[in-house]
Amino acid sequence: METIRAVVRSLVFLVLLAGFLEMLLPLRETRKFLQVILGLFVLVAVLNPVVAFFRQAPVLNVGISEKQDAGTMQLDSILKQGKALQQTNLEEARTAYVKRLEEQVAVVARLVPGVQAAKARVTLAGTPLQQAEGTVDKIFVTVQPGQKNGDLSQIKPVENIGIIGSHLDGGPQQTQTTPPESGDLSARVHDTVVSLFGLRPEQVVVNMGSFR
Amino acid sequence: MEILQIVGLGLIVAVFAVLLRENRREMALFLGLGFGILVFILVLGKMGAIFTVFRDLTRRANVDELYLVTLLKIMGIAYIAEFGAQICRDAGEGTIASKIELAGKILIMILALPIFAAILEIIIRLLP
Repeated sequence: METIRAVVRSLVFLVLLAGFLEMLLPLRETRKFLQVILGLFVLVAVLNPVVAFFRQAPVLNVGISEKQDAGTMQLDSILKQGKALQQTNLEEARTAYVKRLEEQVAVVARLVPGVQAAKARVTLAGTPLQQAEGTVDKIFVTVQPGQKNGDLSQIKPVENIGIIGSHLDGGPQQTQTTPPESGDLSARVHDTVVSLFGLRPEQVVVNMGSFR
Repeated sequence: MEILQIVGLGLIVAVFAVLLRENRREMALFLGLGFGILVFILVLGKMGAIFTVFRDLTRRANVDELYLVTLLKIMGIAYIAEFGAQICRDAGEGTIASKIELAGKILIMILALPIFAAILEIIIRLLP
């Protein structure tokens, strides 16, 4: 519809132009020649859009049939580029996933009392499918024992106040002091990580170390 | 009213030409030539507006401006050729006038060749 409207509009302007031009023609012998040429000019202007309209489909068919090989090559090139892009995106996503998981494991390890600092290193499973799924192979956690800054456990506990008086047993009451966090720190970190991340125990390896 | 000036000047020139044609025929010829050039100069300034309208119509009609320029050149050649041929006829040289017209027609045909070529190309395209 839009094409027809454009063609009709062009024809109207063309008729106007031809009319004005004909008014300018000389009145004598050359007038006939000029009228013929003006008629040809109008013919060209009218036929050009028509020819362009009818030539659209054949030109497209010829282009497709002649350039089929080139099109296939172009498709292969596009597919290769797409696969390369997909691989790059997969690697970047895997790297980001591993980094995020390492940070989470380190934070979880630092939550365990007695751990001052912790670092984690995550290795994914070997097969491409497992790597694509993000299956964890092993998690190596390195913890540094100690007290964190601002930890309440750094405050020296108040000494127990003994009740001065007589007891039935006659002896003074035993002083209850908080034992220092000297337990199996690595075992607690191991259990925490295993339970929180749903891993098998052999997948988590905890080492003691120092980051300074 | 330029037309009144042109017509008045034309009448005066015509009277003088009639008077001169009896004794000084060549002077009458020069008078006619000079009047033609003067009229052309007078209307030349008005032609710009016409060409602007033509150009605008050509653009709106989605026609190549080359065709319009060709048509205007052809018209110019036709007018100049007719002007020269008429001067020659007035001087009693009908043979030279016909040669001028022949040259004008040939030049017009040469300038119209791109339009002919375009017609031929369209016909070839339309044929299967």
